[in-house]
Amino acid sequence: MKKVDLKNSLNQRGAKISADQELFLDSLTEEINSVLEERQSAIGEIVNSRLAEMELSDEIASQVRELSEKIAKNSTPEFRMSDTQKRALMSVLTERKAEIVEAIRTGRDLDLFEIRVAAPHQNNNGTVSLGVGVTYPTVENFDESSVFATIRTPENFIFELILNRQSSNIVKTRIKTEQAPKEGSVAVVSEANAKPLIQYKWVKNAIERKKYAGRIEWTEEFEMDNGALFTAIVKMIQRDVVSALNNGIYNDIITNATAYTSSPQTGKIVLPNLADVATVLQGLINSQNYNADVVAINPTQLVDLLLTKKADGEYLFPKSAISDLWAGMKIVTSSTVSVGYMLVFDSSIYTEEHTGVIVRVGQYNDQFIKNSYTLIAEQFSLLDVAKIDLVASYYGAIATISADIKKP
Amino acid sequence: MAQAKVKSNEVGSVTYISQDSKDDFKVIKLKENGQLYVEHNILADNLIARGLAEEVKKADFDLESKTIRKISDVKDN
Repeated sequence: MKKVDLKNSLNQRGAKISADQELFLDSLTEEINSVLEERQSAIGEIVNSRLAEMELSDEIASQVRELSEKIAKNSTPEFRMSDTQKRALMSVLTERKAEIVEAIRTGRDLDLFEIRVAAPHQNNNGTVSLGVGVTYPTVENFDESSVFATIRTPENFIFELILNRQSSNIVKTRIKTEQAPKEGSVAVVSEANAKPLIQYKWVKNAIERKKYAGRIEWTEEFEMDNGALFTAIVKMIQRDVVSALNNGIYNDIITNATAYTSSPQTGKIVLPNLADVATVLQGLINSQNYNADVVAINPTQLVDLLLTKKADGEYLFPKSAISDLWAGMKIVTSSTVSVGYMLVFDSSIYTEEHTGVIVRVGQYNDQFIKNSYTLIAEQFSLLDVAKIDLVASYYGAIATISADIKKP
Repeated sequence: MAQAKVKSNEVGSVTYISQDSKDDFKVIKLKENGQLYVEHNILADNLIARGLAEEVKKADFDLESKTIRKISDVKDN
């Protein structure tokens, strides 16, 4: 098997390698080659043992061996990264750059992160494990809670804000006919004069549905031996599909939102705070003949505002008066909203249609002979909005909008 | 009461501000807190001109596309 030689390869391409980098490249090369060798020998061993059992002719055995070598050479483990994971990886690498360089220089171990890949639910693959320091008692002086403690997720708030309905079928594409600026206008006309010609114009835009989906797999044994836990897992994947739909709609709303550019309040507000920013955005929306009625912020931001005090310790905003600060807008606090950002919009511009959570159970590939099953859970959704109405939604960084409206 | 109207030779028109292209945005560092933000060019240039922020040319960013599109952009798939 051809071995990897990173140093030589880089040298051939004219790279200048320092002593520290050389140390790193050597260890990386060694690691890659050992992984490749392991995979090669594992596949080779399996093939050779099966060939011995089957007593094939030399010619066929040789062809099978050749094929197995090609598989070992070309097969790569399945590893996909979403854009969010890529950004998270870049963020970790950027944040811990100094530690990484130091670890390479000194040759010490560094735990950056764990890469975990989902697997089927089985009794023997760590789906359920004992916590650190926990041993299962051998005497009967214990009981087990029947309540499964689950990781909390943000509340699904979006369906409380926008008009939505459930439907059995969601179309793939919805065409929206939107008004464009008209030509000509009504005017006062004198006797015997021609009336002005008016032409109303339209443009057709399109919105497409989205599908939020996931699957779980399990063995017969796992379901048989963990009845209650299995039921909880089936409920959880349905809950997670609904959460993904909620988060997806929220993300679409902020992606569609208009970016703040400037306002009549630019450079005019003394010591602007969160409520001032919300009011400025509300003003921008309302001046376009809409009615901004929702402010979404991270809970941290509201706490900052609630705890703002004057020099003598008196609260600047009495808690009872907080709702008045937002000029009639509903305040939504959710950890789904990024810290430091704010969404202000007229909720009437959006409507949403979705299917119920569709759940199906089946088997694919060799699951039947392995007593395994697959459950898919999915939900289709179409978020309806007209492009001309997007001026009624603003999303932006509180700090930059504050800086813009702040009086020098 | 009669309405007063300022006479002007300039014809007023609605200004369309593009927000759909990556070129419409830039990365700035706000001096007040040292944080990086992706902002529309109008706001970014305004803050830079007022000395409240500085442009960060090396930083890259992604701009996600809106969910509603012109008919011509929809692909049949």
